[in-house]
Amino acid sequence: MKLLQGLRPASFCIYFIAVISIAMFSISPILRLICLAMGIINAVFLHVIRKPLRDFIFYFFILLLISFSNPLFNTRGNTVLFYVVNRAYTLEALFYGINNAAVLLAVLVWFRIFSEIMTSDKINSMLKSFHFHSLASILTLTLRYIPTFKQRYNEIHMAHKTSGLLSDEFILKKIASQLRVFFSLATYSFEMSASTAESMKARGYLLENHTDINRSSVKLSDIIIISLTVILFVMLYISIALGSFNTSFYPDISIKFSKSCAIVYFILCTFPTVFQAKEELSWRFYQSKI
Amino acid sequence: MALLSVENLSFCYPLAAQNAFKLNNISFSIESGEMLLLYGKSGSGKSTLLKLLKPEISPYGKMTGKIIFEDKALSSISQKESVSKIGFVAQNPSSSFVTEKVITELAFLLENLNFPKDKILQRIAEISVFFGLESILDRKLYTLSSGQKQLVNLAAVMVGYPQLLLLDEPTSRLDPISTENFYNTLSKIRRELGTTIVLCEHNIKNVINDCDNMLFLEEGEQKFLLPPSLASKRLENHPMFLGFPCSYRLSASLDLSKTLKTPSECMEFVRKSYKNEDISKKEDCVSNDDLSVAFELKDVYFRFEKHSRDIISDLNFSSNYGEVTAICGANGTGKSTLLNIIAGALPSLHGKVIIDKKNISSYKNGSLYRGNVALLPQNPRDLFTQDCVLDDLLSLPNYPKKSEQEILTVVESLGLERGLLDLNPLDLSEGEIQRAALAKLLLTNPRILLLDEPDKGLDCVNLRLLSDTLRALSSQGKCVVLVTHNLEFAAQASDKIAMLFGGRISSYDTTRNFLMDNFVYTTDASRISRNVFPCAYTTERLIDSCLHKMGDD
Repeated sequence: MKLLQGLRPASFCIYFIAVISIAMFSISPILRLICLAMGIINAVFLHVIRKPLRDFIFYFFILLLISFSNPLFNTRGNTVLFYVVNRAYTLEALFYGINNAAVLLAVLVWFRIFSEIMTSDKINSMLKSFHFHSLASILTLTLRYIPTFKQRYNEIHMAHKTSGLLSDEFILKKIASQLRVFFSLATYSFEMSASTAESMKARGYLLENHTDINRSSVKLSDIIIISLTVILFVMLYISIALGSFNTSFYPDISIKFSKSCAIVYFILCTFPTVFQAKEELSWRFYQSKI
Repeated sequence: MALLSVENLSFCYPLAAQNAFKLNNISFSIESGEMLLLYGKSGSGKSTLLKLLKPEISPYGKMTGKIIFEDKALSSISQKESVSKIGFVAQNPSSSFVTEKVITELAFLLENLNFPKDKILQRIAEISVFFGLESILDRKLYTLSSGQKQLVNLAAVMVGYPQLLLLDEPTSRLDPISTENFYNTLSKIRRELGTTIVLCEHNIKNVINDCDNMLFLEEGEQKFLLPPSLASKRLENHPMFLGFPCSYRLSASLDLSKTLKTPSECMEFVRKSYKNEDISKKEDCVSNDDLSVAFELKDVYFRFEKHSRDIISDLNFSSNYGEVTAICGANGTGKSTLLNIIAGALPSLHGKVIIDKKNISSYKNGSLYRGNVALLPQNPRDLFTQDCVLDDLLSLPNYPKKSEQEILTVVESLGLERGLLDLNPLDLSEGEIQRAALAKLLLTNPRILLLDEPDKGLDCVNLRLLSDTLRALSSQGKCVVLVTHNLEFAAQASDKIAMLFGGRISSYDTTRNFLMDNFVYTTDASRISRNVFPCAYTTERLIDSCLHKMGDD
């Protein structure tokens, strides 16, 4: 994944937003299915999903839950399958649920790819380049604090247990005990934040004009990905605006799609796999020369 | 030309009473390349003085007097100059860190100073080689050991090559090996880079021979500014003299013309001045007939994850009521884990844990912590959740409410002043909060008291007070077990010492036998008196033996 990780953070962000926004804001099941399928293929090819069976079982469970629960809340649609507590369970509502589940899963999978490629350093660097220094600092400090928070919670919980402050008799007392642990943790966090602020001030955080060592120069791969993304996105946007992907579920299902634009979206979603394939081929080529 | 000079500096906090000066009339100067050690009891104003020397973190309050840095008033130098020329290393590395990885932490200071990217990378390359951090540059900070963290903290400040380096008790939370490593690096910084250093420290053993001058502060007042050998003569009868290394205390007590500075000099002196004696005969263990067994661990195993190595493996250990036992061992050997197993916080995978002749699993619904076992954690502040210490002590959950009189009795027996009970727990010093936490535990009447590294961050007076308290508690019939790295403290406080190694107790004997047998895990006094004095395993005993022998002669 070195080629993808070498991209400037802004380039990959633009690509990611383009892919996700098409799937989220157009309710076309064709586009959403392409997004989900390509997301999974990319994730497996990039070794982001390392335990496919466990992950697919989880995704399947989410799919079932969202799909089959939508008709319980939404009784619109003409084809009634059966009645649940006097409410119609319709086929159209079920398909709508499946459609929503598909986009949710697609977003989950694509976000996994995103978090593997965009480390907190990169997000930080991107925010700094847009002059959002405070936001960048807050993000870094928050992310940095999460493992410490978990560790301290365990320590404080153990300290309260071994000094008899935890109670496991009644549910209310248990809740009160946990709240005490939480307040201890909150106090520790506030104290720590004061020390961190002091350390930041001592090392010149309040000075103007900061450099960023994570900023990389613009490369050819950045230019290629941004230009292709913009071109393909504009084509798809125009196509969707013109109504090529109009879909309605109620009162009857009607799905329209344009084959050529579906292929355009498919091509857009293959970029991570293409980059990775190029890297693998280059590596084999170089390996044969070493 | 002095790099830094302080003239008649006084400081008081904004809401303090009229005459409650935190610092009163401090004056000193340091030449470039010197090391100044600030010494004094907790609360004497050392940290406040250090922070006043760094404009960015100076406390808000009323300051009179002058601080002159490089011939200019400190208040007049630009922020950029003060950030790049004066560095500050805080006590707790975890809370000083700002980024996720080592490399970005090292880059932080230079990024803020707007150095070009190439220059930043060049400096990081140099500093990481100097500190030996090349192999951990990409590691996440929370995965490092505390010794590594403090070194990264120091490197992150040194990357700017400051002229003046200020350190506020940098090794108070470190084990002895990491402390030694840290001070070796600091020595190297001084020798090779010529940095001027001002530091405050309680554990002065590693630094006293390197420093040029010692500034002694008492209640915000400067008592003297002298080189260490003269300082030790001035402080001879002062309670804070307990913090000086054994060699200095021996020289002062024997009134030697030349102060002995290292244990090896003392060894040479003692061997030349006193006759060798056979000290191989061990002291008999105290008979166990009068003392009943408080707890017993039989064939105990423990590990955190299924496929990780055993932290505790085939461990057998017991302790009696009326005894103080210290457990020592290298970092990461599982001492805290062992205490947690005894306290029932962690389960034993195999084997038995027997508390007061009953299996630990037979104690249900938290009854283990009502009158049986209590554990004082490494961070005693974790036990306090109210805004006022007294409210916290009055409202013990799971126990019948205690009267204020009962609380005051316990608190007084621990040497804690009544006035401190009205304060917020966060306002108490390390020693005070520890005693308050001990009071909270003692209110539950535990028969077995476990303490996890209670000596961390305490000055010598508080350490002595703690060891006296623990002895008093054991004389009341309690079983006290403490984990410590500080063998000098263990020698004072405990009747027996056990060493944890390879997941089991590798040696367990009376304090005297343990210390006189070992070469690394022992006190300086034991090393010095080897083959000369059979029972001189603490500095006081060594001094008594020398004076006694001199009297005989």
